[in-house]
Amino acid sequence: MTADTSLSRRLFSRTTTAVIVVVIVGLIGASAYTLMLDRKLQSVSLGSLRMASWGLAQLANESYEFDKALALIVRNVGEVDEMTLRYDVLWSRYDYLLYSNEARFTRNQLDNGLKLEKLFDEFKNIESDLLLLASDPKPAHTAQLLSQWQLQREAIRQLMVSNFVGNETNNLMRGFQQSRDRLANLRFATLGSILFLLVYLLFALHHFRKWNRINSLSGLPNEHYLHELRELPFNCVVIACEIRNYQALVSDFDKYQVEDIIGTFVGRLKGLISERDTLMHIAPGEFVLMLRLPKDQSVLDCIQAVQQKTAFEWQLAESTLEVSALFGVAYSLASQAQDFTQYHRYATRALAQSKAAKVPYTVFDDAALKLLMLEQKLYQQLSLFFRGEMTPLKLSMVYQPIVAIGNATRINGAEALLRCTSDDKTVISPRHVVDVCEHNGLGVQLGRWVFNEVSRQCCNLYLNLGFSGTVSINLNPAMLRPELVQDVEKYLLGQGLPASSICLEITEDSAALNFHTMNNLIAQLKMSGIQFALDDFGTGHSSLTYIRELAVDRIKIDRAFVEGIEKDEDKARFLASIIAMAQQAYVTTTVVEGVENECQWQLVQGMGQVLVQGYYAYRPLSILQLMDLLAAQRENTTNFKK
Amino acid sequence: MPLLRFAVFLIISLIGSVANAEPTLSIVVGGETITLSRSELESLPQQRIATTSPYFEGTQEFSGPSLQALIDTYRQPGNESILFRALNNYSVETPLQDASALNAIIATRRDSGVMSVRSRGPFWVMLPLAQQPDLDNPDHHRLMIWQLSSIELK
Repeated sequence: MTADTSLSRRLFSRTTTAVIVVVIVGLIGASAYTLMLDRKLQSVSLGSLRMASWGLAQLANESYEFDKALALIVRNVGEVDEMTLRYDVLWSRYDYLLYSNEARFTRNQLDNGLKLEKLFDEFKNIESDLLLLASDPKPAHTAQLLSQWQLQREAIRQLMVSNFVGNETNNLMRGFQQSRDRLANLRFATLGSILFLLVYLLFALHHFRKWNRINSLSGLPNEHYLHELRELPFNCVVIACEIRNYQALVSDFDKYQVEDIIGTFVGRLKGLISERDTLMHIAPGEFVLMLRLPKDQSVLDCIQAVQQKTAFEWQLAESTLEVSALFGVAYSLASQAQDFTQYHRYATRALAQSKAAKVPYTVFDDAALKLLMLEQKLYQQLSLFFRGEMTPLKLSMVYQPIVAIGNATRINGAEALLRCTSDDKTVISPRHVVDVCEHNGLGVQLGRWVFNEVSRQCCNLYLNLGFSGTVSINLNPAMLRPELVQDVEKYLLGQGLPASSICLEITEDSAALNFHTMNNLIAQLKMSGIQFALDDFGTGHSSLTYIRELAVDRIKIDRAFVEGIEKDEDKARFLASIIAMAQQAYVTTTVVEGVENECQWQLVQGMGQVLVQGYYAYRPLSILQLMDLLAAQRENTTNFKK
Repeated sequence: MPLLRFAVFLIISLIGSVANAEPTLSIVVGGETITLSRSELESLPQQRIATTSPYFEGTQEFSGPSLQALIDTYRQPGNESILFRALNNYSVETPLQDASALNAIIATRRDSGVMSVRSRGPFWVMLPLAQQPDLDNPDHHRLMIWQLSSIELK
């Protein structure tokens, strides 16, 4: 892409690698060769050389002392004791050189050992003549003694010469010299190699550092660069963008085609930015732009322009492929620079929303930020609430009676509904609470709290008021798991709620339901007499499949099908056929939701024996209101045990 | 008969000892020389060192007064170093402080016998090499003067 490519090619080419290997192998070889050659010299230490020289020098010195004492005796002026002492001292030197460990090196050099032994023998031989000389200064064979000693003196001198300047010694010295030269060369070679490798390493490091921050495909800054950005300047937008169906592209086309498509897309993006803007390629099909908004342009204008200019048609052999992207935009009009990371997160969130909602772009504006903040606050308050700590948030349950279509006042059961208030006045939608709980891992806690609250409030209806209707409880998606059986036992049945009075409601939207596991759950709980209802029937994705597959006892027809039946005959007919179909299926009870006026009531009445839940019969009541109502109706109704 | 033989041996020994005067060690301190004979040295408290060395095979036992005792006895204020001199005039000087750390003895006997000049006597500065391996190196070996003739405190 740039000159760097050729440098990188050279940095990691075969030739370069080969050169490095040669350098290293050469260095190892040279070290091994030097080591091998110098092994011979390893036994020679400077210490032993010094001791050897010292011992021989002392030998020469002591032989000179003895020579001096002997000469004086011969001239009849010396002292016998002095001569004997010098003889003994020299004796001990021979003894030392021949038998002590310290002098072993001296003995082993050249043929010193043999020579010394011979000399010592000759030295011992002159002892008897020496004793005679001591007793009588002029013995007959003084001349012979002297000549013997002179021979020995000469031999000692020769020994010194051969040890200090002889050929063998010269060889040893030369060996040392060569070894030193070799080491010097090796040091030089090592230094050179290390310098070479260091330079190479620096180049390679520089290269890696640079390329580590660049996407290899597009040459744009990559996700590492993204993490280096700290500030979002004033009046800038952050756009997170993802090529639509990128995975499909990869699976349908070969590598080079995909690269071409991305290349074209990048070209389009580059056409949108000026020098002050930043474009990053953070994942194969994902990009982040940081754009400065022109003064006369709104965020919407900007993102629409980006969307239009990045969409293009890709020509294939026999067809064209439409390439476009999804966008998430975050911007701030705050007058100072903002934390880039945070806004990148907002943009990514907006992109996720675009994907989920299948829209080309989503703008994360101040309203969305406010919503996010509210959600975070709600989450924190819910956590506190479930932990039983102080919080202005309050969850409570209300109960909307369900009646038979034959009698609007005859209470057949009630659905427990969640209510949420903050600071005792702000009402928060229960749907919102459930969503926040589900998205933040509080789903099970919420479900258990609902179970607990409902059984606590309702067990009196059965124990004291003799109520025999059902209480319906909505299951939030997190509760739909094998542990539901234990939860029901512990939080509902364990609190004294009769199993036969419980109806658990499942929503069609409860994520991707697995019918098999769901039916297992239903079967287990049904054994104790618990009923199941399919809530909001008709609004989900595959309602008919649900009704066919799930072994529920009840179907609750969504209010959407009731709305407007009194004004539109077709709608009424449609509702009637749904009811008819539901009753034909393996369901025992049908509940129609959202019947709000008398007109609707009359119409539904003509559609069959159903239960009804809606404002026309009863609005949701608090538990106390429900108890009052039930107490008042206690007489004269079949739903109460006498 | 054994008694007679012993008597002859005793006489010969006595004559021998008179004829060959006992070896002496000179201690030079403050310009004065004190001469100590072997028996004088052996009248001081004796110490034994059984050790190996680079100079002979195996372990041998040496006995004699400790160097420290001699230093303590003859040291004068201001003495800072000690110089050992051998019969061949070889000499080594070392600070008194270091000499004290050697735990050396002035050996007068080797395996209970006196030492001749030929066997590196009459006196030998002996270090407990076997007991203190940290002393067993050339730096300390040079202080193991044999044929010791004088000690000078300076």
